[in-house]
Amino acid sequence: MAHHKTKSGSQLPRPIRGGVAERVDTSAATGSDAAQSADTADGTEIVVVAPGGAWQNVWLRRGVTVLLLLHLTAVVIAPLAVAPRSYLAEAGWTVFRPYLEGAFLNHGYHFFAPEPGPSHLIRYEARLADGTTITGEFPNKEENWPRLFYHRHFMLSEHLNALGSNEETDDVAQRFIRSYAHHLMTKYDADEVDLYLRRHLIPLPLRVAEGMKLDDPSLYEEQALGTFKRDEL
Amino acid sequence: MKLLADYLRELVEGTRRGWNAFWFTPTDPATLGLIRILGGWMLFYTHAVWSLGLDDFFMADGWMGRDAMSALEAGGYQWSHFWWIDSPALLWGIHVFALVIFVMLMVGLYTRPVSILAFLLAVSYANRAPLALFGLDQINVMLAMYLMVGDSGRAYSLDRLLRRRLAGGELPRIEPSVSANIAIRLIQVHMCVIYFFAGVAKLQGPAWWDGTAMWGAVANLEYQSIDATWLVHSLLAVNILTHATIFWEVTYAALVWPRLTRPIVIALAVPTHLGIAFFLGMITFGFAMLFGNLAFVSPWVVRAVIDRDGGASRRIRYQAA
Repeated sequence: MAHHKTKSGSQLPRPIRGGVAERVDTSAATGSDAAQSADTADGTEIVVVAPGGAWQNVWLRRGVTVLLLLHLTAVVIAPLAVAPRSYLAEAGWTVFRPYLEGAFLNHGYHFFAPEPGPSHLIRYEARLADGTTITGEFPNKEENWPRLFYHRHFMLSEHLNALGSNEETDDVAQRFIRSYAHHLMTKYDADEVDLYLRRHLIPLPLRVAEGMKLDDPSLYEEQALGTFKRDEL
Repeated sequence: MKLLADYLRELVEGTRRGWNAFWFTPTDPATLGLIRILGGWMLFYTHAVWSLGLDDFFMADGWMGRDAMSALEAGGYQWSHFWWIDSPALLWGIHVFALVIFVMLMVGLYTRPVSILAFLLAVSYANRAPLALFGLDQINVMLAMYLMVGDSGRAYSLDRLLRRRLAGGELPRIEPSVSANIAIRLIQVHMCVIYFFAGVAKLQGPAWWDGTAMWGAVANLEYQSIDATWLVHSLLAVNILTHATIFWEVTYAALVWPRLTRPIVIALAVPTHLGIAFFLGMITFGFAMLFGNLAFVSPWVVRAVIDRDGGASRRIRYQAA
């Protein structure tokens, strides 16, 4: 087995070439001779490899480098452009917006940020033509199973609250409120629907230590979102 | 002046060499193959659950009606095949097709074209139901994108079994691949971006500074799946968990690269994301994040665990020529 020496004097196997377009002779990677001669003190086998096949073409590598730089810039711009944002971030987001939105990469990754807050639920009362009233709430752990399905409904109420909490998107929130109402009327064949947003506050640790339950009625605040009639939607 | 010129020359040359070694050194696709199996399973499960409310979430008279969606996406570039579907039968037909594609990605059958379809489908579902999404969908699409970039069917796939059969039963055990390395590197860098911004965004919230943020998470009944409010009896533990979470997220992008600290950083991802999975009710999201973290696990470790070859999976480090 031929080897070439590194500057430090350690022996390494000859480079093997690997790439998408080339079958590789892996004897250097798995053969015991090569493995022993290239072992480091901690037992790691170092396999020296070079791009093979089409990847030997420097212009391909340069082209891919440009694509990688553009992609990674876009990936960083997306969270950087979440408000409050700089002019630079906003300008960058404008440039990369088609790519970020088209590829569903337009995320801030603000999980539980700036801090965990109250959660939100939507309560509804649907009145049918025969006078019956159907009441419900989502998300609902009893009805929405498995947990992922529950979480989908949870996000419907959370995102609606987020949209409604921002002046810029309040009009969008109003349209989604009507959309939710329309869907409930279609689902239950109702003539009229009342919607309410329920905010479930987080109790202070001291109150829980004193025996307060997480679903204590005092922790809920309710806000009417409106009454919607079938012929108005 | 010469000193500065020498430094700049060395800087440029070192950057060029480092960049090429980082991105274009072929690697064993074992890790990417494992991520394909797990990511493909997650894509399948996530979309299978949509079946329970397909009409509710994806038809025009569902939760997210056309008028509201138009207002939300005004001037945007979100696209979705669902906007061309008016028939429930067609909706279900395409949904079943999507589920088959995700299963094919998971088992690695016709992986190259299937991975492209899987990515496009995942994006299309996400763009149609934005108000029902959360972190899980972001990680799902990210992994689907990079599985499409890399040749993820080179390891642990039906494609490889078929190739072996065509080759008469023998294929080289390891086939280093540049595209597999690019995909793994992209997942690694993207995970660093996610954790960095997740961490610094939290720094805007007082609760992450006064050490009570973790209480806000465990005392949220809508998230809660296992009751951990017993932590109220040890606010010190709440403080420790809060500060540890921030420190881990903010430093992840720096400490995950050195060989010495990488195992610690990745090991800490396990309790962090299992905690999210089992205490905060986001099992899918917790596991999707762990699948992303697998990109930092060396291929020889993956082979040692999956192949169970009695030590034949030696500790191999691929190094640029």
